[in-house]
Amino acid sequence: MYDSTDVPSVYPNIYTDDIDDYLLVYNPLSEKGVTVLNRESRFIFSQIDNKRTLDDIVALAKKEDPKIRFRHINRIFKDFFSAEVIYFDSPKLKVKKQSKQLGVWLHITNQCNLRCTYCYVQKTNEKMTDKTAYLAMDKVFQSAKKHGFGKINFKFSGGETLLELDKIINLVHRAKRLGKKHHIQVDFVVLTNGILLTKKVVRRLKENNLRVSVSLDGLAQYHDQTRVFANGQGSFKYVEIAIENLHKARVLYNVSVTVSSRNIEGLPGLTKYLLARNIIFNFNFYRENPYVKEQLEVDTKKLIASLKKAYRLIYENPPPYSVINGLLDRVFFKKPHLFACGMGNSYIVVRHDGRIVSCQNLLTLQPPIGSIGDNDLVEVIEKGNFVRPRGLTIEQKTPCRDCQWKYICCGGCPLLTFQQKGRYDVNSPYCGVYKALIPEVLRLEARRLIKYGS
Amino acid sequence: MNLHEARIMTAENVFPARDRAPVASAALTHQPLPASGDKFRSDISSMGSLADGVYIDFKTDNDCACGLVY
Repeated sequence: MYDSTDVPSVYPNIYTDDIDDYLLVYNPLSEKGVTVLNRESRFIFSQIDNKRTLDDIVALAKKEDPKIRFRHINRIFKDFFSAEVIYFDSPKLKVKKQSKQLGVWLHITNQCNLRCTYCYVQKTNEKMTDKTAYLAMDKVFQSAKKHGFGKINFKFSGGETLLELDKIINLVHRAKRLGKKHHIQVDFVVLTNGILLTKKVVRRLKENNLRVSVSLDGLAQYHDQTRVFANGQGSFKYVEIAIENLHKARVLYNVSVTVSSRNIEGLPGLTKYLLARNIIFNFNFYRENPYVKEQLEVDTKKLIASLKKAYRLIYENPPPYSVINGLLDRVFFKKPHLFACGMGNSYIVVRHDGRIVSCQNLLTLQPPIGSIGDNDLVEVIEKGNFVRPRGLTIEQKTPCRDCQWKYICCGGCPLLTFQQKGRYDVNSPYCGVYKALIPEVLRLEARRLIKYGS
Repeated sequence: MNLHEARIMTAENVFPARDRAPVASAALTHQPLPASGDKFRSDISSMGSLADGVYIDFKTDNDCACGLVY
């Protein structure tokens, strides 16, 4: 119970928006997500001016509803407080600096059965040997334990990972054993183009409780323009079968969409397809790389317009599960953070040859920063952090520090920012897109809560 | 205005904890979109272990790229 003389205050930088009679309230400093107020709670919320006591607010509320009592107002303030949209005394929320989860990107193979036009991997016949893979796994756990990570998220990548399914399953078994031994939780995702997701393969994934991320860039020609076999033939029809197989076998999976100038027009159609099948999906903006000769980045205006069309479909019929963390590239609403990614802090990329690089986009573009032969892989990535000045957080980026959204976008991919602007301490080239669309994405979450909570 | 009806909606109170994490469970069937939160909850409950604490969100707090995460 609060005291009648307590003064509630709204968190600074809180974002509000009207959704019909409802009020969307979002605190970027909180992990609680979007809060929606109905007409009545909205009225009470609007009486907070950071000076009035609860008694003052009750008096104002009585003018609107003479039957209202202090205890009723107290209850709703308890809800506001619990949703972290208000505070008493002083604001308590702070952004945590270090993640307790370690991301490990294991580049299992350079081999691939596709030749996607925007791929950042130079295909060769090389792949990770068992010896390298096992040593990498052992070293990762050793270092994670030393640095106090409570969970490791492994991502098996390539090339095409399913060409090495036996190896992956062996590694998963090994990781589970090591996790148990070191008391570290483990999680696995297999990245795949989907071509090899036959019923048999899917069954094996299911047996081993593996999650899958399938690349799908659009329906029919929108996918087939970029995701092709060596002979130029598109791969959509195979991915469609793969999704069907995953569905039937009840394997956990998501669809990863790389948004480029080639598929931007087809994004609404793809969204409709994914929503109709209740498929979790992520939109990721294409990143330039030196192996791609054509211009695949999307014009800002076109990108915003097309994403808005896709969002409209979600708004009209929101799925019961939250989709907002996958709708806007690097923008992550789940919790406030200081860095756009784990590079240099909590993210290890192991190449097929056992060398360590800072980021998978630099697989062959950066001289390795270490190898699995080194004693402490977390120390290796810390030393290999390429961002300058070292330890740069979003709070130090000049144009970002006053931005309302800084803790959820964190200035986007640092690599992209450097590629396009020649420095790290500035905002993302996608800043305008993020700012234009973050409010739209928040509305989608509010709409979901209204649909299922009303 | 009847201020007794004041209430707020958050993911926590609209979707109880057990149902919040397994967001992808719905993606595991070809069922049409659930008509309501209750229906969704019963769909998930029937999926047994998949719904039991499986953390399904494909984004974590330190990943990036290829659709997974950041």
